[in-house]
Amino acid sequence: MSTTKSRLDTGLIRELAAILREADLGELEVEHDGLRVKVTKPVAPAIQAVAAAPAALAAAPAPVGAAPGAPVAAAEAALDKDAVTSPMVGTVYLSPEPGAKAFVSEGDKVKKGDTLMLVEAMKTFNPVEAPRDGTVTKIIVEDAQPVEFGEPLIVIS
Amino acid sequence: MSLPAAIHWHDEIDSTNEAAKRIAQAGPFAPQWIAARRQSAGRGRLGRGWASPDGNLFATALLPVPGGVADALKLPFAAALAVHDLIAHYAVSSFGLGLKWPNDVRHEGRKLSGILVESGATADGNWAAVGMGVNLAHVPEGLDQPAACLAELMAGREVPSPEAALEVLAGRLAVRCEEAWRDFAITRDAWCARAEGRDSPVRARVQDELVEGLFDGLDLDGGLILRLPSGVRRTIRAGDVELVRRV
Repeated sequence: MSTTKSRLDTGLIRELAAILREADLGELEVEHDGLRVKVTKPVAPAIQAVAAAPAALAAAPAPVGAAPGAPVAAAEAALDKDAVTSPMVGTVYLSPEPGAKAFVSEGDKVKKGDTLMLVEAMKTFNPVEAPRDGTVTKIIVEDAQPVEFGEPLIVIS
Repeated sequence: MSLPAAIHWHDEIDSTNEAAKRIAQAGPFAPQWIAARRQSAGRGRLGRGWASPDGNLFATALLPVPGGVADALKLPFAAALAVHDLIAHYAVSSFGLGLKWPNDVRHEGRKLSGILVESGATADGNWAAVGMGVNLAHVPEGLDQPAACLAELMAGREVPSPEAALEVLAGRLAVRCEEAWRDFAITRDAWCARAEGRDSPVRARVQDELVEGLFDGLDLDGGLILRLPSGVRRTIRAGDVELVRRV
């Protein structure tokens, strides 16, 4: 799976995912401005997601200019067994409140049970906790970014 | 399912949600309510302050959530319905009362309560702290949006004490919670029947994106369905939502 290096238009993907569900299609592919996006429906989603899960989201192939098949952080991390994933569809927050210090930064040592970030959906806040002692080697998501169920958020090694 | 029966009252506490979270994280706990006559550090969503004047209700239901995260996400709707039930129980009329997604209870567009659900998991299972602030006697000052209080809806009758109001609220939350976990369609339909602005324009801010559409109900996960100008339906699960008033 390859994808674009630049920031993806998540709005477009969400619209496509909505059409996909609306029409009960298994797969939908569009090409626009040199970017081809394919959205497929997971066979058995654990929690019904607003858009297809990232593993099923293949934006193929990379647009002109990007190295073909260039791996990106998300794709790498998806394969990374050390990645901590989102417990639900929602919005991720890296700090307890806007403007406050982030729960953790890359390079920080964490203990099992430490809060790494928060995920919000329906105004319900769920902490993402460190599953084990370790070091934060990569924070994959940005503050206030929408995330899907099972999406890799952070790597603890 | 076990719902909180015991109510623990405190004269003053930092925040009933913080107290509940401390209990949940300390080990096995019995379902319970934590209530305070005053909060020194009342909190709303994303650390926003929650003004806590005397005479208003501040309480958190701490409960185990055997169904996990999916069931925790139903609690904001159950809580909003329970608060709506509480207000309707005392108000001389329920006209003007409405719900705004996902869990604001308002009177003619003015906020009567704030609900903050926080959840988590320990080795003993999932838990949720359902924090509710209800403006009984006073409209808090310094809010960033219009607010109202129950006293304004009682036509001069005596406003219930926080203790009396919590007895009613606890009973209603138990009922609404049981419904939500047994069959969320009941909750969805009850919520939609009380929703503000069905078929009205709604603006949702999701990250940096502004989504506008017509409010088209809730899905079975509680997501807000918007009908976009293109005709596509889009479901919102997080973000700030406002109803756009028709002029």
